[in-house]
Amino acid sequence: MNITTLKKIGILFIPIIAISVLLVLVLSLISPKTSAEQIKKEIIKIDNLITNKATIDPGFKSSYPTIEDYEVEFKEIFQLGIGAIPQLMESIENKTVKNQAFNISAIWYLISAEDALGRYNGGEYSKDPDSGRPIYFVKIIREKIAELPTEIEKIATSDMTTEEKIKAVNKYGMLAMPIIADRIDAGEKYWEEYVALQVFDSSIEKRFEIIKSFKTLEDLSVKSKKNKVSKDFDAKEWLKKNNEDIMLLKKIY
Amino acid sequence: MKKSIVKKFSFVISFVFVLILLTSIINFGALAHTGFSGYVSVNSSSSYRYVYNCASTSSLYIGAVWEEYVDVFWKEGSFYYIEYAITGGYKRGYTQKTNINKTPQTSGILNNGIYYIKNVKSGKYLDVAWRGTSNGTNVWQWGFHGGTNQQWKVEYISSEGLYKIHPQHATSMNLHVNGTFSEASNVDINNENTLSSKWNIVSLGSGEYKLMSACSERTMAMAVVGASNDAGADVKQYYYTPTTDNDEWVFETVVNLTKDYGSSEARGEVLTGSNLKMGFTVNSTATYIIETAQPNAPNGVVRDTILELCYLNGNYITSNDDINSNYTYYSRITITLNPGLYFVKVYEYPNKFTDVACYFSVYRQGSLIGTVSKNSNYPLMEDYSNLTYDFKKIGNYTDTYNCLAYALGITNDWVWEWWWGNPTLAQVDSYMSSQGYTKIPYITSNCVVAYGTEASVGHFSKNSSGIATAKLGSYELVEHISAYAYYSQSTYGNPIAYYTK
Repeated sequence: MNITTLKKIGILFIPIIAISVLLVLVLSLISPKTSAEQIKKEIIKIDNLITNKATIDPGFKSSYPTIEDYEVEFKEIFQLGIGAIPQLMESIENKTVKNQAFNISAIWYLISAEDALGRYNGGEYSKDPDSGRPIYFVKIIREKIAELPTEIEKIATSDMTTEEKIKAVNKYGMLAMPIIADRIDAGEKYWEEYVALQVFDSSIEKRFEIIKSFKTLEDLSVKSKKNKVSKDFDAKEWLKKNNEDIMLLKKIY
Repeated sequence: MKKSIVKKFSFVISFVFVLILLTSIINFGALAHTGFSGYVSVNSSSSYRYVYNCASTSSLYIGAVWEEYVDVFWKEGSFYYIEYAITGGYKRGYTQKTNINKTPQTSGILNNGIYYIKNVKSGKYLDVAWRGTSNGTNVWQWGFHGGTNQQWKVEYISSEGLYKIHPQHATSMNLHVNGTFSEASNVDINNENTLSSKWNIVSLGSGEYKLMSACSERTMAMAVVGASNDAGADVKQYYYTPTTDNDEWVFETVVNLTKDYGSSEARGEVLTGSNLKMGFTVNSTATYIIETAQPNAPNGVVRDTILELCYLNGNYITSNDDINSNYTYYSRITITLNPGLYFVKVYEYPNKFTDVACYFSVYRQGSLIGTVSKNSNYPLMEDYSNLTYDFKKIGNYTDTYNCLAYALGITNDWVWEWWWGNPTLAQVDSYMSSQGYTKIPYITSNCVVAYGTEASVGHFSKNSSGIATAKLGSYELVEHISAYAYYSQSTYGNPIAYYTK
């Protein structure tokens, strides 16, 4: 093969390479920021942050990782939004993170469910030897999710007052958001109040600060939450803005 | 030389010779004795008599007769008096010989030593009634309980050759005769500095002693009234009777080295009854905390501990009844100790129970016993100094498991039902029940201990064989010397509940 032939081939490949690079750039720009894969990577990144932090910081003395112990890390999780809940659950089930306790706490804070997903019902606890372990907690969430569509349908179509319906669903916290969003789209406007009660404010930082101020489960009751909702909060706007996260959460149904 | 002078000289020589011979004969029978030899004047006779070995209970040779049981104990002016027994009574005499020494320290009794004083006849112990501390509080005999009101510090007063004997629950008091020279004067405690508060301790051999009161001019001995064997039988002074042993006593050193961890830590479980003492070694000067933990008592029974710290030789250092000025059931001593051997004692507060069963601990405060960080170069003692009195690292930093997991026997997972916050005690009760645990009203040597308050339980430890082991959040697994390992105002606080499976 002579030099001329090589040159021709080279000239031919230059545009192909340039187009490929451009394509990659365009695709990366137009792909969603909160894709499942990206969230997974972020979760791993935060897990590494915690692991490395432990070498220079003693960690925490509490029986569970508190917001005070890991404020920076919890903020990162809040930035990921409720769309991170499925990936956080998987990280525990698949044991892809070292700091499972942190991820469980993160799920808990993101969901912000009043009755801890029904675990405080009458003070009864499961006799399952796994009870209390992160994996068991994820199992409970999955069970709750499984019953969620039917349960909300039942509540929504019941004779309950709006206030009673909102109170009844409040125990699911953010987990109910995809179904609630659908019902609002379907014209059940009264559920907008439910959205307001779970979100409090359009700002992620503000929501984080509000949840951080909660110290007991009572703080997550409808009554307590009502005092925290911003007056100018627009539920429809929030649903629209966070549609992608809601869709990600819906995938675990 | 004139004949008369020779005669006189021969007479003097003969007299001296006879005197020497006589003295040799007298001493021949007493070769086995040692002590003072000299002349005394017997009250019934104006003549001086030769006495031998007056410095301790022994014999008196008067003329050709050996009289038994002689004590030389007191001095008036330049005269040294003796008391000696004869058939059917006692006689007293004195000597001007100055080579009678004041009574030396009694063999076998340590100056400033602390002793239990046991009556030979009854086996009961000299005891200040009901731990009273005021002048005139009665002294009687009682069964052994080891309390400081049964411990007596023996102080030798060298200038007088006498002893003062102080009860250790009221150290300013003395063992005291309420009277002077009269039989059946009661023995009590008093802080007066008179002969009534002073004694001569006389060895009778075989580890037995008699206590002669100075106020009776050392003629009377402390004795149990009626030679009773009963607890609560009174103690008074009587002329010493050698044929009975209710006026004879044994001094038992207050020491019982039961455990020695050979380092700066020690731990022990005080069981009911006899095993109430624990020795320990301090290798370096530091502030140490000694405290009793949850007294182990049947449901509803209140136990109240008193804690004492002593040197190994029995010398009392300090004691504590309640941890705080407020009434508590537990005791704590915080003290800087130099290297040496010590022992602690725990006993039940009077009028509660005659025994006590509880845990107690000795540990070094504020000391870095082990590095406790995941990064071994990072000293974490600062972080723990406000949390726990003492700990010993036994497991590495890991967030694989937490306190509750460890307490339940799980080390491969985190266990916490309440990811939002701390549960209430009722929630913990319910959870523990679901896991097959039963709530018990008091700590046992094998149980799970929950810490916090009724409104918020934040920590658990596993109490096994009296040692509390706990995972501190994501920190290390540590061993505490007692379940009461945390400052009450700390994140964890005090034990609130106990569970057993």
